[in-house]
Amino acid sequence: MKRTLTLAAAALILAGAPAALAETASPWLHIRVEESKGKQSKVSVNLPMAIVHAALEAAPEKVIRKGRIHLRDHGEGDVDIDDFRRIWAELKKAGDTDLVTVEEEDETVTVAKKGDRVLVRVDKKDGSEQVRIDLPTTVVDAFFAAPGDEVDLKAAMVELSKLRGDVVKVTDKDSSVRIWIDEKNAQQ
Amino acid sequence: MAKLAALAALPVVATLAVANTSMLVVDVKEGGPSGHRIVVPVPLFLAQAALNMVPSHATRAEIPAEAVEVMARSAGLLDALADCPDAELVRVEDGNETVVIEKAGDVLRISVDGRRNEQVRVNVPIGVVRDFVKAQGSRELRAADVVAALKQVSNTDLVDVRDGRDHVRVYVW
Repeated sequence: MKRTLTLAAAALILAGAPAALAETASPWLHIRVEESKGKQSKVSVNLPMAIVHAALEAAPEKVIRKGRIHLRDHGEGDVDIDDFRRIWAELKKAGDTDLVTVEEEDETVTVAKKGDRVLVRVDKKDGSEQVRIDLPTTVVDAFFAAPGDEVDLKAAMVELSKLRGDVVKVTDKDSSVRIWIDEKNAQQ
Repeated sequence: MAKLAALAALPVVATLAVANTSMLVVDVKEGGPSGHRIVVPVPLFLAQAALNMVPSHATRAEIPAEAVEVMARSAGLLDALADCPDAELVRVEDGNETVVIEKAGDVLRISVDGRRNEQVRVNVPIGVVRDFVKAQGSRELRAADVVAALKQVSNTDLVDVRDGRDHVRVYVW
């Protein structure tokens, strides 16, 4: 579950839904987390994207500067972001294809590019865990557009604001996480 | 005769002054048959006047540098919050406790409902906080600025806490 939540958090930064829909009204980011066991906790968050953008601007400079995260400032010195940029550029050229398929004893992970989206799928073979993440290429492009060891979170969020629909869906036997964007100020 | 008239007029003038100014009221009610009730009304113009008589160093507190940075940066966030349509922004239901943060008009309402009649209500006047944050240009928090900000609030329950039969309410009237 920890891993799926991490994936969900990463997807929150990067993900989106079909980019074809128009941005005619102000978008709202919705997050819903439900536990089916224990206290059966529920968390729901509804935020206008304008507040998400403002929160990014309000973040301390040591965390994020001008909407960009400096990976080396966060102890990620071993990460060569240029490698990721190169890999991403090559993947984009590849057209629609399964980029990665990992079949393990108990789960299958696939990363595929279809149209203007990168799809991440994780499925436990016993059906106990399922991850669905849609990453529009425009969001990933914006994320990697910053120079050097920076990633541009602000630009990625601007792209994310243009999207409507499910961004992340994670379900396992104890909980579920859904992140989506629409133009409603409440969850349905 | 004129002196007498002036003296007689004093309570009237004082009453009118109080009636025309905001008042911060702290209302504490203890539960149980022998529970006490303490109500402290503080006319804000009097509080401001009193602060002027206190040595300034005693009414100022240093704000940590990080907090100053956060305040400076949060002005935009408060602008966005003020412009945001009314909505329930956050709801957390965790066993016996529910926390809700919602925007209603110019107020950010924070509600906590726990088991055994525990209830907390906090109303944050967004515009007042935003103006206060924007006015802070130094690393000092001045009590006079806090009182001045409170004077902009009217007829608002700022804090309402119920714990069993005890009840604490802080409001501006």
